[in-house]
Amino acid sequence: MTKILQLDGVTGGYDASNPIIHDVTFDVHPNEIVALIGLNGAGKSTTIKHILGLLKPHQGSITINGHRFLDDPDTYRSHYTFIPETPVYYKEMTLWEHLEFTARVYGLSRETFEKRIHPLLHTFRMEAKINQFPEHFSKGMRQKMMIMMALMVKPPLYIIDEPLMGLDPLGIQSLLQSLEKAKQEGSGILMTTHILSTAERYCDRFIIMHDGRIAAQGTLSELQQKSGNPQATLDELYLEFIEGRVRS
Amino acid sequence: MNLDVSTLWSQRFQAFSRNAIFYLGKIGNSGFLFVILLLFIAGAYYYRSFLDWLPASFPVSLFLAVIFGFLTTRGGHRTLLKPADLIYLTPLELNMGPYFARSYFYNWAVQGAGLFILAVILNPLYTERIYATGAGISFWGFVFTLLLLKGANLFARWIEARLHHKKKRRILFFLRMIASTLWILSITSLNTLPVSGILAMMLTVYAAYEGRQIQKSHAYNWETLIRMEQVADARFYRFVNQFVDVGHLQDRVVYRRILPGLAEKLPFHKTQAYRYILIKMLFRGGALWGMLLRLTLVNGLMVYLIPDFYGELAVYILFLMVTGMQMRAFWPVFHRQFMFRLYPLPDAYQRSAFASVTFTVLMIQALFAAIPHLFHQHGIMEYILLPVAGAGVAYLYSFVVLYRYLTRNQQEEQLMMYG
Repeated sequence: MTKILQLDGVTGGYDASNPIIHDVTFDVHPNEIVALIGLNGAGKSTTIKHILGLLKPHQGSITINGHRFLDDPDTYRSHYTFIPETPVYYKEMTLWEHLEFTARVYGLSRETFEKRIHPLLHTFRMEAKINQFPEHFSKGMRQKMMIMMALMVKPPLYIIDEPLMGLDPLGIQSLLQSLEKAKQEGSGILMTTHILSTAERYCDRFIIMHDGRIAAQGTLSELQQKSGNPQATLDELYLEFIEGRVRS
Repeated sequence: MNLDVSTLWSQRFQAFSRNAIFYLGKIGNSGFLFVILLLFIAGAYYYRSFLDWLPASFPVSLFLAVIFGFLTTRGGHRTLLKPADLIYLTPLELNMGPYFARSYFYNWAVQGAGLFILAVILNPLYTERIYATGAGISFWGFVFTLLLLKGANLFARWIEARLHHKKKRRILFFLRMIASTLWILSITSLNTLPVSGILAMMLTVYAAYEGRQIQKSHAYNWETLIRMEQVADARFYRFVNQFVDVGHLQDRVVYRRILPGLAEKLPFHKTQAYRYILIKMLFRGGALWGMLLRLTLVNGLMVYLIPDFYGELAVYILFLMVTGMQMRAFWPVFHRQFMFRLYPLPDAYQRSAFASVTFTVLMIQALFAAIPHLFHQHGIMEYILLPVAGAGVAYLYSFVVLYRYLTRNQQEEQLMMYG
């Protein structure tokens, strides 16, 4: 099966003499949701920054749909959308203008934009807010804006950092359903999260990071096998792996 | 242990002054100061002829009263409060007196100095038309009154900051402005004194009464005070940013619908994306838009006021250049948006959007400011030369000078990021 995202022995960080992640290897396929989990400071965000092309690996390589960032940054970037943990917005633009601007950036036609955006506005119950400024939104509403901008583009790869924080229960449900739908349509999704019960239900595979390295990865049953505890929940597995009781 | 709030103020004030002096030094080093100096010299040169030209019937006293009435009334408080004070200093609320007293005198001194400078600039006008004609009191009496009014207004503003109702604060501001205007009117036009003086007195007594009531019934409004500090801070950095790059500007956004709506007319295409957002930012970012508007209006006014053609041309081009520099100062704010680094668009799109929008801004000013030029008696060549020179400057600045700078700037940043 082709891979959408492939990390191969990536070592990197902000400073060449002080790498934060070490020899990270994993992949994301079409039609799957992969969870990247780990404690604060485990290296999840640094890994994501490398995937986004914001940091250059010291060693190893990253490809999205076969493209490497430095070969052609614009093609590379056009294959993913990113939802950051902290919503980023332009204070001069309304919700609608953010959406329209994003559509322009990713080269959507006006028709495609209008066709895709109204169902999303409805799903996330933001129709009444289109002419308001995100400056006056709650964190959850800003997060919904970021989510809609990412979903609207329908890229092959979604990179999502802590998507559930700040969302209300309905928002969480809408997001998970939308991601499920994107997955059915052939996208791959990489998301970090601390909410393991949700991850367990919605994600197909798990990558557990600890101290900048991958402590374990696989499907739930693969992880259960590795730990020798076929009944273990993701919570239990997670603690087990990061406490180093199981060497994988 | 009790925190000594006076020491706290001194510490913060020292840190603030160090920062301010650092930036003022940078301004001193930038070539832009030279432009101000040039304008100043040009101003001094035309001042005399302006005074001679000003008709005797011009109501100087009313003019001064309105200008200084507004200037003495406006102006907030720099308190050097920080957002975290909302948590850490509020328990000391009752002991904050010495801290706020110091901040009050600081504000009085700084804003008073501004008034003083403006008054000195207007001194020839004042002395010639007000004092020499016997219409009003001496110049120093006038300055003294301005400073007193400033102090009183700042004190009132301090008390009003306790109010939560924006509307009431606005009404009180308006009343104070009328009172201040009347006070100035009564000393610069002594024959109005029986009316304006009594009215001013009544309004002042009312304001004092109102202030007492507010003080009795309202506590400090910390959030307003902190916001006021942030506004003052933003203003300072905006000012500095016109000369040197500050980077972390917090600008206020004004919601405008019609002009930013022009961006929607752009073709729905990747190449136009940055132009789209730049137009929105330009029209809604309060400070820059206001600055462009003012520069354009003042340019037109200068062209109108300056009688000889070459003076006119020089100032006209100077203003276009200054406007171009204002745009350039906005570049870091524009292209350092975090999300820009994730978009699948070449960096060159940012440059071309920025250069072409700058060109449009300069062209609009070049055309607008050339209109008053038509009212002057010139030869046909001069009529044509001014707007043509303006268009040439707009083009050369935007697509050559500025574009080169943007390219270099982006290359340097690329190098820093990816090595």
